[in-house]
Amino acid sequence: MRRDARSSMLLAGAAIVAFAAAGLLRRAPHGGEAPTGMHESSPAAAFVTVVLGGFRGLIADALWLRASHLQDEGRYFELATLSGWIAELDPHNAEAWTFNAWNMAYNVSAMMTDPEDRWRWVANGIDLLRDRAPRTGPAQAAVLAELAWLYQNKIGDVIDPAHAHYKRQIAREGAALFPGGRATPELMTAAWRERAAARLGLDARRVETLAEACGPLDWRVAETYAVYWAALAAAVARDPLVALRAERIVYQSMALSVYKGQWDEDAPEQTRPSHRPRLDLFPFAQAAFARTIERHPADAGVREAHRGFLAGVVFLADAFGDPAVARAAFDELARRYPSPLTEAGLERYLASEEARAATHPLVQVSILKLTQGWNRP
Amino acid sequence: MKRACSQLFCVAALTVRSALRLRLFVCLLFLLLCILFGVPALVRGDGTALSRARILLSYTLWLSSFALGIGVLWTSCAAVAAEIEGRQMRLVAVKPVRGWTLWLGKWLGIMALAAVLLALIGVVVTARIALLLRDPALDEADRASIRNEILVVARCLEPRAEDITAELDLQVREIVDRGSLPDGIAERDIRDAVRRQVLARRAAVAPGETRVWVFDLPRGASAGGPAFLQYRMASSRGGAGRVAGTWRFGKALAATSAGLPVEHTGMQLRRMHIPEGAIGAADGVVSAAFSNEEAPRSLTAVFHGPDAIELRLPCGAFGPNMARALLVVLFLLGSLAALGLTMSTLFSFPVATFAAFGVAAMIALSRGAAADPGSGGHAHGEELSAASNALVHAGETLAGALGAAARPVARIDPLGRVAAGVRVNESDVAIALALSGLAWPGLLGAAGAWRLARREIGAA
Amino acid sequence: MNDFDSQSPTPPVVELRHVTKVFRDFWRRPKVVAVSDLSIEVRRGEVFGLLGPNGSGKSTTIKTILGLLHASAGEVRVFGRPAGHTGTLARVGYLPEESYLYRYLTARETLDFYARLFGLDAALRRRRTEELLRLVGLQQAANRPVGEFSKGMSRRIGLAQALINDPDLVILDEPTAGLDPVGCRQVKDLIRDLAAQGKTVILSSHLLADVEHVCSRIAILFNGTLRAEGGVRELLVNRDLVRFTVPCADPALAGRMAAWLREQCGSEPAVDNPSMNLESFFLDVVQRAGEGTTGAPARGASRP
Repeated sequence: MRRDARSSMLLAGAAIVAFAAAGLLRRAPHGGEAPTGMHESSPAAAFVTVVLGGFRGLIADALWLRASHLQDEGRYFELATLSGWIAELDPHNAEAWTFNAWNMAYNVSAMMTDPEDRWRWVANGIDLLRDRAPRTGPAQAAVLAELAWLYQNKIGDVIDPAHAHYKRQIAREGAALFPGGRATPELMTAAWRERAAARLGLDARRVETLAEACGPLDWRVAETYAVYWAALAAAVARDPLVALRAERIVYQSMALSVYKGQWDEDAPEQTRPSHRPRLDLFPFAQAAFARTIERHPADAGVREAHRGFLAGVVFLADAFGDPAVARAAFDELARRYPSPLTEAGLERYLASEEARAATHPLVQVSILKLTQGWNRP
Repeated sequence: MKRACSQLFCVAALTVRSALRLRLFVCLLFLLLCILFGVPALVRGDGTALSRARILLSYTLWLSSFALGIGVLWTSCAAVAAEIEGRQMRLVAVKPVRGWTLWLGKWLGIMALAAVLLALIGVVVTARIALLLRDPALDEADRASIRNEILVVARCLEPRAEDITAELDLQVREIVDRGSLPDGIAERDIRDAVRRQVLARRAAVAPGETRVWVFDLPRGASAGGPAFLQYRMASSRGGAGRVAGTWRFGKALAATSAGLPVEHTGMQLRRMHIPEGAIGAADGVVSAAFSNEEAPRSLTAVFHGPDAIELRLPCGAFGPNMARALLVVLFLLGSLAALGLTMSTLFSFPVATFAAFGVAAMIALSRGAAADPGSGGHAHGEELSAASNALVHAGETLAGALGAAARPVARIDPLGRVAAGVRVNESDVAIALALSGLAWPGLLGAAGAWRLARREIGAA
Repeated sequence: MNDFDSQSPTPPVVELRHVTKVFRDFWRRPKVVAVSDLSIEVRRGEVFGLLGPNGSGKSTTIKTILGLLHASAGEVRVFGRPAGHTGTLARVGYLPEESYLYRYLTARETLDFYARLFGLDAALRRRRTEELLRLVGLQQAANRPVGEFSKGMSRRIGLAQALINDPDLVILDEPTAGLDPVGCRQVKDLIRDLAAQGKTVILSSHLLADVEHVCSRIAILFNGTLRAEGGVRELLVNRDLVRFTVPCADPALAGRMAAWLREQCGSEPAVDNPSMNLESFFLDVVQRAGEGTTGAPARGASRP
């Protein structure tokens, strides 16, 4: 009897080890890459992942069904928990993280009337990608690129009726950590580093590196975070498609930072948030474009984006009284992308309605605002 | 009789004692405590204190009850089969003990353990919610929302079902008379399709239209607090569309109160507090009317789904409601214990465990299939051999029967109700007691006792 | 009990008529014939021994009598009722071949549990429990879990539970297995006491000396069939030989008597000194050691 009990316990132990082994095997589905990053995921998730082993897929399916059912019924309060669990059950599957974050930030938030409710769901999406996804492993680059895209598109763009509220939230969070929006070396004390990591998932060392590579970005605008996370994604990406996506986000967000990368503190709280151009970031944005063009010389899309950016900067710099930047942008435009319009010279180019109309809408809005006296530098 | 009672008590006490001394109880207790204290660390909510409290309540209750259910089923599978295999049953079977005494004693012992653990679950969950209310990170508004939306109990009233027979008859007659239907379509199928169409039409409130719902108040029902309407409304453009309209309420069939304007996007559940005076005992009904004022944008408001609109009358306190819900759970556990015990009189321990879990899973799944007949069966017109057809038919019949047997208790959803602040009525507890606590265990027990009396205990 | 007593002054307590027990496999095909056409009667006050080698059907017969197995053919009646009848089980005590007790119960709780199953009231339960703990010598271990017991202690508590209801029929399957000689003797004495009280004992053993000492009647089984049955003395006595035992140790007298017997019977008589059996000798030594008697070792014992 006692021997029976001991055998049962041994068998149970063996079963647990087998499940755990199954779980570990399942954790490295992409070319056997070592799952070294689980410790950076939540301990509870790591525990569940190991203990559930081979049953994880089944449980994840059941949770997907429940989440989908609840969403259809308009019962959202469990979704953040379920999304986290679903992703944590398959931590090295990038789709599990990106889909669930996208679903919360784009679909669920759109079901809310109150901007604060909408923001909560966008923040849940950010939280899932930024704070819960593993920071190493095969999913990392895609997850970070998605996070960067969420900042750039969902918050930085104007696609959401509540985008102004989102921008104010980002500015508030950023200002609490970066007074005046700038990351200065004297700011980065040990306590600050801890706070930056805990609140916004930022690594102070990377913030410093980013300042060197991309210039003195304003940490109160969404594009800065998009650049931060996309640069990180590009650095760790092994899949060339993911790398290209991340690099695109970097140069796009850098371009947007030139157009509107300065948070306007003076804008009244109740009005639309106001941004001002950051022409001083032009060389850094230029460098970002140049890096991508160099790495992907056959990609026509990058060159087209670069051409549009240069054209926009020519008009923006001219309007905002920075002839040196306007000249530099124009010379680069004429050198890289010569056209009948550029061959006529800078003055004729600036006078061309055709060239002006082809610029990025943000450039046109900024210039319009300037003429109305809203965002005078 | 006295001897039978003494034997019952003795077998029940032995069951409890074995669970305690073989550390089964301690293991189960440890597992439950892990869930009760671990789940709050895993749940996040949607960022609001209210959601966190609600999810904490529903997840800890559900997961701990689920774990307890597994524990009860497993324990009951072991209760007889393991004793037969361990041969302790040989010494018991040669005593003047009847099969039913053994079966019932074991069942009572398991139920006593389950009751203690369930009570513990109730106390810990309630204490956790109380602790959450004292969390210094919460502001007063968070606390108020938890008190008003979770620590409340409301009676849930569905609107009076409308009689659509006349409209249905008329439309079906028109379709049939038109004679444009392909051959082979049964009138029953046409009627089903038209019924769905009529109901869908009635769930929609077009721009400029007003829809009235009538709620019959139960006799003696009085609101223990401000009553409210809970509803889910979407626009005809889906979740993103915005619908503006006005609610009016009244004591009689006509809703006459001052208009309460609303403007909604999305499909989440919403609450509308009903003005005082709009509810009373005038003629036992309350009406709620929604006028769609979206004429310029031509968006229809859709009140879709089985719980699209409900009237909630606050009544009673959270604690007693939790106690009633846990009682219903206890009775459900009674059925599980009975299932496991009877399986363990029929089979060896591993086979009994497999069979009991299989039947339990089948009941759980067939409940869903029974609730949604459209999704359960194979597609009509699918080509199957006669044998496959018979097999599918038998499977459907079995699943349907199991689902039908489980439905009266399953529909009570006691834990869901507690988490949603809906009252678990005494009548629900009585139904659970009668079916899940007495009838099913009685039937299973009769089978188990019969088998136990005839089984060759000495052959193991 | 009254029904049974009123039927006949000396009816059989246990009656097996043409009992056959066939074990079948999963597909209901006959696998083993454990007992074949067995007919036995055990009467009140008898100590009935079931003998046979391993696999001869002794335990199967006992389980059939108790209702733990159902006869494939034939009829088993106990106290005039079918085997396993609840009313008769109240008058039966059973010690299985191994101790199938609940390991987590203490000795006292074990006896109390089985006493409750017999429906004994609290005072009687307490009295019987203490009496039996004393009888089997387990008072000191009364509060220890049975799972911690040695095999001998387990047999003792098993025996105690078999007697908790003061049964009229006691069925003992290998009662001395695992017991030391003192325990064996106690059990045998106990069996004799039970018989003296008018109780019926059925005893299964393959230790022939045990059976010979205590049984009044025996049945010998082999391969599930009855090979011999009857009173022990009837079966064992050799009526062709006579043995005299006289309290006289004079070798000359013995020689003269042997010569006279040789002359009378025409063959050489056997003359020797009777010896104790080993069990009696061992018990004598242990008893004296227990009483603290000092002195030289018993005659014939060797020093290490």
